[in-house]
Amino acid sequence: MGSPHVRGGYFAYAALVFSILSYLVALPSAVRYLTGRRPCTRVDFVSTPMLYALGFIGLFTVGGLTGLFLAALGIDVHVHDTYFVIAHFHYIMVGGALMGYLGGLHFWWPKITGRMYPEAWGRLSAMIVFIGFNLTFFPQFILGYLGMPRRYWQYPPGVPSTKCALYGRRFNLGRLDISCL
Amino acid sequence: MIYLLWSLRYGKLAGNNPWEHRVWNGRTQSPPTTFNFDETPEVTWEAYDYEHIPMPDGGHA
Repeated sequence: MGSPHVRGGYFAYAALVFSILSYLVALPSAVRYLTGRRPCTRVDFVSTPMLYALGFIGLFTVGGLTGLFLAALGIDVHVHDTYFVIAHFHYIMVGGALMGYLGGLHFWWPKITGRMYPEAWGRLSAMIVFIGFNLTFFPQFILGYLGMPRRYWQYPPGVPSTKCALYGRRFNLGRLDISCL
Repeated sequence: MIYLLWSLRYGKLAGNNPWEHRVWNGRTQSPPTTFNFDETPEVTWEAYDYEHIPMPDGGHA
């Protein structure tokens, strides 16, 4: 994940090194992910922790594949330092860490506390977290691809189409779903 | 997350083996005692041989 976030200049050889470093992250991650998915083929009951685990797989896949975009030099020239990076980062961190944390929390809850959480509410919250997260961050892929830079407090005039920017803003309300839970 | 706090007081008792697994988690109490097991458990089966590993008692109470 290093290169897209910290790269400063565009010196060609430096970019080459950063590209290699990004691939060094992306490719083993892909292998680890594809091998780790195998135990999930024998599932016969979708509980709340399993919902979170499946959400983890979906989000982490998107985050990982877009990571390859950022590692490929030709594409990264276009999406470097845009909202595309932000969306990728959050798909990795929320998909990889938060979903796993919430799923683990639900899985161990009865063992830790001796009490079972209400299953229906657990599943509902897992769905809301998943949908709200996607509504929040998926439009940022589009925004970034259209050229919206990160760390700007305002949409630059004419850079992304205002329509997409509006959708992005509106969908960002999905973040409320996450913070409410 | 609120329902997790709710379940602390009103949730149904989880029992010792809430997920009906055959692993070690189900063979102690919920929540576990200080050292997880009061006495050293005896193993008479191979790991991962799930078809022959006995199911621990105590699912949902």
